[in-house]
Amino acid sequence: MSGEKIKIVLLILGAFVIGSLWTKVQYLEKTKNQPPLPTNNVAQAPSDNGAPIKVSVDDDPVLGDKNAKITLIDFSDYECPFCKRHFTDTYPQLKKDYIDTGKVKMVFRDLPLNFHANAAREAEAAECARKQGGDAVYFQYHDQIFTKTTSNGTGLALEQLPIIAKDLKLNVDQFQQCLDSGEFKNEVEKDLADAAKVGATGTPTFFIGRSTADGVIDGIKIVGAQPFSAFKAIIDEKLK
Amino acid sequence: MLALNLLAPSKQLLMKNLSSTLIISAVYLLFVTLLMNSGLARDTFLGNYGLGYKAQILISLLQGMWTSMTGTGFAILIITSVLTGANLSLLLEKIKDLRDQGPLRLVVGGSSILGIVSSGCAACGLPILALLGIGGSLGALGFGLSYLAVFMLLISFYLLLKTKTKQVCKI
Repeated sequence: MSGEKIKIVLLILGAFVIGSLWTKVQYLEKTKNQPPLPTNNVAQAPSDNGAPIKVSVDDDPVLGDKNAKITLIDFSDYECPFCKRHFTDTYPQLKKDYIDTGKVKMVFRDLPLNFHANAAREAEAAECARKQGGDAVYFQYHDQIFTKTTSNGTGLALEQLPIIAKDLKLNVDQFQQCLDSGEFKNEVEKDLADAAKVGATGTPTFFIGRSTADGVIDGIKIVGAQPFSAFKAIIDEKLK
Repeated sequence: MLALNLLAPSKQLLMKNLSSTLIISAVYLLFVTLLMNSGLARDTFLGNYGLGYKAQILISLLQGMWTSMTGTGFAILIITSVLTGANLSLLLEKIKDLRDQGPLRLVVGGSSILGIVSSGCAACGLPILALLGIGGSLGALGFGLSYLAVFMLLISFYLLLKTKTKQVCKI
């Protein structure tokens, strides 16, 4: 490559780098007054260099066989439209082919984004449902939220939360008390902090890895409402 | 009126650069698509996996363009990629023309403005490279600024067409 061509390529790359930096500065300026994620460890987030990332299942709800060979951790937001898309388009097939067959267990962790007004409350509500009925009821509640919400922040009115609890035959008084007391606020915030630590900055973000005894997996990260085929390819590779 | 004056030569110019535009657009599209899952892409293509797995992941991530963004976002991405492709094609041709006229001198000025000053030709002003760079990056970074990216790319595209279709350099 001639010096001239190298110069041209460098110029174009330089323009993109300067553009990126300018955009980044604008973005940081715009977000500097927003409340930070509740963690002091954001700086420890691993860089997304393709190496598996250590992610814990924590004490979060598990769907499927607890001894499944593969663990799929889903950092999700009940008001995120792409999480809803994953729920409607991909999750049913994943559940049928891998979770119900005992090959994969799915762990749902909360990552309610701060611009989705009702998301954190909905996450707490699902935890309150779990308190009464365990993981099975948690996922029934989870399914109901995703089915009913139109997403984007306030897609499900908060008044609907006890109604869903009633539909699932939970004790509504206990449920409401749990929700009003903010009993699971810290639990949701811990998930948020953990998400930041593992570099999950958007929703949905998934980590897929072989299950371990201590619940910490070496997870391959998938971001966004990717099609079933992406999950299938990774899971099948991990199952080998 | 000016736009009308640009139409005929522009059409020729665009047809001439069609293949390079399409290639650059496709590369840009691929780059932006993989950017969202850069870690996975890197692990897949550099990792010790079979070709079948690599192909499956690549195809899945490309399919994910439809599922992981809104209809509007997808349309904006396509527009941004086509505009970036068209801009870069025209720019490369422009630089080729300039090279034929003499050596390029490069001046990087200001904090974010990148410009090229060539040998005294007013019609050859290429600070649009900054517009193109910022525009392309806005689109790729996707901080909800994609509309601005399209706007800047359109300006850059217009300026490139305008200078490229000029037959003389006026002082």
